[in-house]
Amino acid sequence: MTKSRILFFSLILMMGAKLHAQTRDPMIADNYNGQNIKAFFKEVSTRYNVPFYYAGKWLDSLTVRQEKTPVLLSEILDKSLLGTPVNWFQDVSGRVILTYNRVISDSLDFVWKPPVKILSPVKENVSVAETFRPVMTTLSDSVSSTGLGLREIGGESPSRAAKVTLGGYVRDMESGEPIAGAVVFSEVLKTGISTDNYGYYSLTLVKGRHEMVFRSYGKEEIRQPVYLLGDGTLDVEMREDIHMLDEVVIEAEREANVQGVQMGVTRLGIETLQQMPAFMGEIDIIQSALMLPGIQSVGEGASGFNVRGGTASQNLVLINQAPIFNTSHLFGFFSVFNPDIIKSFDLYKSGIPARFGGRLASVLDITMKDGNNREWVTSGGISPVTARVTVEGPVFKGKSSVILGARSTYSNWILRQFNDAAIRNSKADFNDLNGKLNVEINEKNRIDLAGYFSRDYFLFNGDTAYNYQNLNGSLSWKHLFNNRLYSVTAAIFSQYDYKIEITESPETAFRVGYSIRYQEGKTDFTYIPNPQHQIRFGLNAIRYDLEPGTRIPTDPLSLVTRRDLENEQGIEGGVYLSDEYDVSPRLKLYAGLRFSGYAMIGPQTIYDYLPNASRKVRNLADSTFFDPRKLIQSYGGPEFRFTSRYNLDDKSSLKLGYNRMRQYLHMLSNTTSISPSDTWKLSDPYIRPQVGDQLSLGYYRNFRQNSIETSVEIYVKTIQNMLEFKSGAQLLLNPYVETAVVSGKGRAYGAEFMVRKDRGKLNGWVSYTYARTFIRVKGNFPDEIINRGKYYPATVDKPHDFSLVANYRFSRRLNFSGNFSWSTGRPITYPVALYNFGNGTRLSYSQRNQFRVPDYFRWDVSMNIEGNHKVEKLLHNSLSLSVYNVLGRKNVYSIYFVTEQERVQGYKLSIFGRPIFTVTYNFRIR
Amino acid sequence: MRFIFFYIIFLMTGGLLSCVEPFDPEITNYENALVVEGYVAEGKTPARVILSRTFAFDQDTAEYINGATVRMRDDQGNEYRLLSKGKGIYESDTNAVQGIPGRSYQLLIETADSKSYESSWELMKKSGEIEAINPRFETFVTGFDTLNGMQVYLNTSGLDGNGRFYRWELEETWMFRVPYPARGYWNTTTQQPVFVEPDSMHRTCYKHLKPADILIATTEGFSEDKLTDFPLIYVSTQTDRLSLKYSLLIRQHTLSAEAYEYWRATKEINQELGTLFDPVPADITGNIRNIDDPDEPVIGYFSADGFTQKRIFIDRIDVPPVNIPTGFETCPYIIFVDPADVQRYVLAGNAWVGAVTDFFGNIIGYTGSTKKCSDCTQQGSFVKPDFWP
Repeated sequence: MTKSRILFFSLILMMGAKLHAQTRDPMIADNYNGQNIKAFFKEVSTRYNVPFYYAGKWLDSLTVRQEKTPVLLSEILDKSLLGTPVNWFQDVSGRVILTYNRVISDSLDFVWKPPVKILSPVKENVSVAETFRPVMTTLSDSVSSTGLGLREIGGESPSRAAKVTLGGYVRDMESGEPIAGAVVFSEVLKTGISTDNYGYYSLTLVKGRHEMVFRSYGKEEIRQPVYLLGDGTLDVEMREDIHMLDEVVIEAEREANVQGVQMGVTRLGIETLQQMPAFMGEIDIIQSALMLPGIQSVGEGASGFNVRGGTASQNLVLINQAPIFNTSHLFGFFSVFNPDIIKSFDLYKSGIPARFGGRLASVLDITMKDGNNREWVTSGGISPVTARVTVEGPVFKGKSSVILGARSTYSNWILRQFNDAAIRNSKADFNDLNGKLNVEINEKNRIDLAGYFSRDYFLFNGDTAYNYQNLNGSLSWKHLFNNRLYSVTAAIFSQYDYKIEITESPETAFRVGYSIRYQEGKTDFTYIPNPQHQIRFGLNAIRYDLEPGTRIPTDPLSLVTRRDLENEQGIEGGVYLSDEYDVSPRLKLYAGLRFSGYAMIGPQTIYDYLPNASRKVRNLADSTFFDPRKLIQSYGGPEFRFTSRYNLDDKSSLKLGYNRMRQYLHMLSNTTSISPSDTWKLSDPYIRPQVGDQLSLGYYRNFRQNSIETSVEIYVKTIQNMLEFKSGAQLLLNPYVETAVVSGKGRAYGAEFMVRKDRGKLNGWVSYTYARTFIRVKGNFPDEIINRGKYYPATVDKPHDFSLVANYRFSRRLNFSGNFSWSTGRPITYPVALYNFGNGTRLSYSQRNQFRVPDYFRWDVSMNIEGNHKVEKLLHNSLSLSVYNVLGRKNVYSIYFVTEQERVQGYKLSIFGRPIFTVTYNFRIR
Repeated sequence: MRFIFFYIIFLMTGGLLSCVEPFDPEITNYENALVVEGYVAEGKTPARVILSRTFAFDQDTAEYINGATVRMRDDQGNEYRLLSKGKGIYESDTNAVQGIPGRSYQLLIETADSKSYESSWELMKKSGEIEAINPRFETFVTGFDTLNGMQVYLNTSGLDGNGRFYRWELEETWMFRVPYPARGYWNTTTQQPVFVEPDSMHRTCYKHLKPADILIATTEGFSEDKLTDFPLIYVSTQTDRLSLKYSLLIRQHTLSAEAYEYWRATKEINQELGTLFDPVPADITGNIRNIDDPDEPVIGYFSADGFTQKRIFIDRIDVPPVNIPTGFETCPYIIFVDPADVQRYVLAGNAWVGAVTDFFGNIIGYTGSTKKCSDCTQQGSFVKPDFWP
């Protein structure tokens, strides 16, 4: 054993013993003058219980110099070692450590602060004895648990300040791709931060020795000992966790659950999604998110998702910072995100950071992968409905990379299996294309260019064609001013449009079109003055251009006239400032203020309605035309965002959050789920912005060394100016659309329970949610009142929701997964009586949403078989077999009633009423 | 369009995965609401209102309200009384009311329990002309069935600017014959048949039907207020409608936008649900309200309609020679030799059809058939309608 190990060992021991210090500096009663110093140490250590640590060869020629008795041990040591290369140091628990040619300064003890001392304030004004390098810095074989050598940082320009900033990039070792959301922290100080989307982190720490820990999902943990002398950079590359396949770890999550200030946030990596059973073999972000507490959908095959009682249009879905306006392919069966190019997603249900705005219920922030910047890799897969391929590789090795992904369906073969001519004459086609290019110009500047395109085409019976597409792109520039301040500036574009073309007969041939264009410029700054504060601020400006509807005759014989609803223009802007503040090791606060403003501008005609009359076309009084760029209506106001975390102990914490959101863009839809002909509408003088407030409280606790996380969150929400639709409202191509809508109040509350285990052979989570959502519509006129102005359950009101996701790894190459979900059926409006009208028996419906469809219940299983795991192998294969709805339960999507020859018959429609078996093959070539 | 989505669901799920099953809801209580259906029509057509109440699923029919006082007034200060005709129907005296386009009308109801209701004021539209009604023989293949029949198309043009919203009420009338008309009746006293004049034999009758479908259309968005080949009804040869002679009366109402909207919503929630993108069904607000209690739910609409009508006939000869069932294909024709047998047969609820005579005219036996096959009044009306040629 070398001296350094002894020394290190001794230092470790000091921590635990500190509180039980005995007589540090005993009076030595006997006289040892002239004795060999080693013999003296032996004697003292047994008689006075003072241990000594040293290498014997240093002391061979030394003798004790003692002039009197009794005398303090320190005096003997000082005298005896004076003028020798040996120095001594005694720690708080009384152990004496001898060093050769080195001095140990106990003013550096902040580095070794044992856990019990965390609660005391960090000592300021620590100075390093500049003439002597502390003993550890030269010990190149200093121990870390991953065997990495100590690195000295900032030595070329040592700082005089007590604190220095460490920054750098965390990348994937194999592909060079930045790792977002990796947690970087100093083990001793428990101070940490997670990397941003560029894999960048910046952390301000006191000078001295730290062990920096880097953790990320599916990656081997890195423990890098550093000695900080000044500001500096530490880039690390993380290796895939190949050796620990049976132990998939989300270390970042584990810490974040209790320690992070964020609440109501879930980050799932694509790796988790890949293990879960997928419908028709298509890994689907949104389907997977539905297994999380507080996230629901109105039914199978319904596009969109509902977060804590919000409507699907109250979710902000971003890919590479650009919004997506229609998130589903083929009317809702698949989501538009190609799983191969997605790195991860964050879903904020509450505690939405101030940098986001514009939607009430949630933010789904999807991050696309960066290309591999080391080598070219092709991957892909086939499922019964789609084929996918992704190519990625370096443009300039290590500096710039590109990734391109494409997915296309070939489901036409399914259609041709039908007897029905109408279906055989139909065609279904959807595809999406994604690309991203990143260029690291230098250490301080990086540019990203990302693009996304998705298209759907559906031709029914050869005469009705649906066409809709999303196109978006973003160009962003990240600039590092210094290790404490950086900015991301982006130009964002997004467009969604659809066309429905009907060519059934020449006389009625026409096409209906809709489009929305979104342009945004924004800049976000992150400033980390010290480890206690993380300040973010920024601003953005959005311009909306909407073509709310056009109808164009498509045949010379067509009698259909052209109709163009007037375009709508709007401008939205926001500025924000937020601070994440570590008040004390127990208390952490996040406070943010966003101010958002909106203006609808001309050219546009606004209709006026008679005062004191209900808003109906018949009560139209006048109209005003606003010239181009003239302000029609403006709205705005502050949005407060606040979260706090209070650590009850090491393993548990309480968090409290409040946020206000404003939404200026609304979806016009009177169907239960989002349908392809739904449109977005800007706020105008009649349709006011929706305002949502949410208050949430959570308790978080981890068990078994953080391997089991539990959480309970409760929330209360209110929504003002919630958009509801009059019964039987006509929304498409309606120039007086304000006559079809009414505004209501929403309120929701709920409790979410979750137990999650991310490690071990068996991993997964169980969640249970109790949640209620109500709406009240109480206008001044009969047609503006729903359910007599009383609160009624919203369509998304499903009080009980239980989900179980379990994954069991038999070996590195074989795993089984199962999903189980159960929830209360959604509310529905039934006919409750009959009446005679227009020569027939008609249905008299109950008040809105007074009944429920039967409970929803589904179980899915899947098995994933991976090919050989040799890292250097050129071709990697994997095969997934999955069964959706194993029990074949006929979950009721909707119940409807039809009058059939004087008789009323009820029917229940279920969409996937039997098990669906799929096989998917995936590959990766490099 | 909704129907298309329904197909898409089928197709995406392999057709076999999704399924539709009958469902019987458990409804414990319902609101017994007043139902008002009515209109005042342009010209000399009587104003007509039907009052009833909603009824439970397990009841057969509605409860009609006959004891109410129903009045109508126009914006010129004229007031008219609508008189009860039974079955909840109230009609104005044709001579008294003349629906005049451009005037507004309001309905006032006072029920026997002294509740007062009123409609909103409705402005009467002026009707255009029904230009043509064209029946054409068409064959449809639906699933496994092949249907033959006459598809009746309508061409109409409105007076532009006078309302582009239409509703049609159809009345079908068709003639049919029984194969073995009874020649008379059986006198049970004398135990002998009594012959009647051929004119009185119940051989040919007429059936009437008002289809329950709500037929509406709008030319909103068309360059001309004109409908060409609008499909009104498909008269299939699977029924006996076309077996002899068929007539269709088309009553065309020109509606206001609101009245159209009411009918459209009613149609939508009654006939067009069951897809993934169904609108949320809900109660529809009409234009009738309780004067004293505006919160009382009232179903229905009183409209002031532009009005025109047209009748067409389709003879058997207009239909290509396809087989048209009469419904009498399985009728028995029985010969009795013993008068006692025929008597027993008739007493059992059947009909005496005629006699069998020998070469010299002597009755040697009697013939019989079921009542349905020998008496057309069992299924239809013996009264020949006024309009029948």
